Amino acid sequence: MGKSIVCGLRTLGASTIGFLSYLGMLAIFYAKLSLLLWYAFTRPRLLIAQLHFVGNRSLAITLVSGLFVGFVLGLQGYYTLNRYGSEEALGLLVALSLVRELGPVVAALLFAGRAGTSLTAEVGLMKAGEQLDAILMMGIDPLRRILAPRFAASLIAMPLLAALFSAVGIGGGYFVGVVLIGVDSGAFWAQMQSGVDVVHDVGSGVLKSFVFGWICGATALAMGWLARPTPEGVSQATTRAVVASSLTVLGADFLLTALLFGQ
Amino acid sequence: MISFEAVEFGYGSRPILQDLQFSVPKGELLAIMGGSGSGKTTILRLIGGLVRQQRGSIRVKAQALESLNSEALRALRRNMGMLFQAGALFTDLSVFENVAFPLREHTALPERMIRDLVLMKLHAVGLHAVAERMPAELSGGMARRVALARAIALDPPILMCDEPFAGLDPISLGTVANLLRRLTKALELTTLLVTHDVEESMAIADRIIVVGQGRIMAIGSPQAMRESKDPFVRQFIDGTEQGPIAFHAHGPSLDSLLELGHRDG
Amino acid sequence: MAQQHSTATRDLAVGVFVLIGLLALLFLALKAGNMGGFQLGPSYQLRAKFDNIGGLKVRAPVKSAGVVVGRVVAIRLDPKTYQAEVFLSVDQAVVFPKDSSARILTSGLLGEQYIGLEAGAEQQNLIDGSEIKMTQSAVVLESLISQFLYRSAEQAGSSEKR
Repeated sequence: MGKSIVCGLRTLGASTIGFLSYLGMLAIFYAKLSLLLWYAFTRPRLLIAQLHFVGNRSLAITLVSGLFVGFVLGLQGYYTLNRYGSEEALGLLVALSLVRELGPVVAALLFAGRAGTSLTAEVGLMKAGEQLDAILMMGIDPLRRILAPRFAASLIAMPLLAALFSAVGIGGGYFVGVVLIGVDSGAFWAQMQSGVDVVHDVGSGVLKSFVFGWICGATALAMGWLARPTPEGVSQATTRAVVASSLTVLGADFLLTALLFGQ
Repeated sequence: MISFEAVEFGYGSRPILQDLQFSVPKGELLAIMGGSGSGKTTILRLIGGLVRQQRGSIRVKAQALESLNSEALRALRRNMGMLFQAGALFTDLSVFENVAFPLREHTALPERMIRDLVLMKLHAVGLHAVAERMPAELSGGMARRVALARAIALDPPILMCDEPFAGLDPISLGTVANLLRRLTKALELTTLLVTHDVEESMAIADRIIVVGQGRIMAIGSPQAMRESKDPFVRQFIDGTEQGPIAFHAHGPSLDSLLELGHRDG
Repeated sequence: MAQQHSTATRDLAVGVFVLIGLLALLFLALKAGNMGGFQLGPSYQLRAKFDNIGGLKVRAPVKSAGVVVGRVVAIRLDPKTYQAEVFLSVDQAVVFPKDSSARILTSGLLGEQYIGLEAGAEQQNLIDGSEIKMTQSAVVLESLISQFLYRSAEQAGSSEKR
């Protein structure tokens, strides 16, 4: 009996140390990657190619999701505001929800699932096929040549995608609220414009999406880089990348919201 | 060109290679042979600096690898061309782009010159006609040859090949082998070849190293290997079950594992 | 050459992506936010003291007859009179007579509070740095309720007396 407790404690200790050293390794990798960002801007062709890979390819899912989220906000927002006779504030509700929270967060989660997994799989497969080693043996740093452009592209694409998500969402909310339900169009925009602050709300949203882009990009690339060079290893890495990115984004969202919007 | 002095390498407490001591002069085609898992590929990775030895010194072009920082190592690597086991071609680039890659990264040559160089390298391996194809469209042998063209794109003085003959049909095998010999002699390369294909390596190599049990079992010309009396070398060259390398992996005897017919059962 | 063609289209696609992304950001900033509002023209500053500013915040609009003519730029507590001192920035094109009044109003039920300026009748106008003397504080819900309770208690008491 005592022996199994000791055994259990030992395993707990070992896995904690293992986990901590894994986190440490990740942190060092993230730092290295961030420091090499500048290299991506010296190779614009590579950067543009990667922007296409993570940005353009994520457009469809981001726009459609934004539209649907806007629809729901318009609908749910109306039902709730109607109880207090304040349906004219619908525009304000839709805009603030999107710009402050839903735009950056949902766009980031979608990014992690779509672009992030592509990045992880691509890097993992390059590792498995010895392509990364081949680049190393040619006297080229794969972190600079392969990872930095992908990281920079994530940082640039994320705020753009979040803005598109919010903009389309507002349009969706307008469609449901004003066109379908009949809320006053003028009030929709007027309340929104007086209530949404550019620096405080839109600016915070942009800052959030930068941070989320950093998180999703670095995590996806790190998981691919550290993947075991086998098919199962790559598959595991992509799953881990999505889960880790999503949870970290949500956690960071809480921290950022408290920092930016706390009084 | 390359020299190993008392090199030791292992993972943790598990030694993989010990007492490695040999040198490779310029212009020699050296074949490194041994059973699977004997550490042959590790020798190449040690020379390339992909892994670091625990003890001993490895010199490439008179520079000690262990004393180099990453910048210097990167510069030294430009003197090496490596042909990986499955080719390791960049799957998202065409054959042309693959061979042009090292040229584009390391030189500032104009596009027209790069184009000519790439076509010439591909011609050297007999494949300038497939320049526009993607790696996925090539057969194993062709992919291997394209990888060879890429490895010599910058005319490196050292060429390292990891199992270049693995999984090839007899014709491709012969082609690649002859290609390696021709290129080595024509370009005065120092070529290291890791393989367990006895016939081909005996045919093209200047010298052969046989690696076994983590050590160098024998070094010598192909002729010397053929006439060697060493039981290890003999088993390898002749390809028989009897000899120092056991057929059965190490472990408890079968009798002790069987359920049926057990005396106490 | 086929490479160059696909690179050209790809570059175009990326350019379009970045462009619409930036446009979306611009839309959010201008149409959804309050940037398209005031603070663009030259302005002058006025001061006003209130007993209670309620929920008035910095950057709240200053309106006259419902039209936005300025912004609240600063709010501080006067340590001597314990009154709130509000600094307004008003569009230079609009002038107000010296006896104009400032009230704190609420826009709509859930709306934020703003300053409403009502023009007076004097000849002389307010200039940069002058103080608006006539002010009316914000309506505070608790005082309203206690007023109401007091009045109904009074009425109940007087009806009892009869």
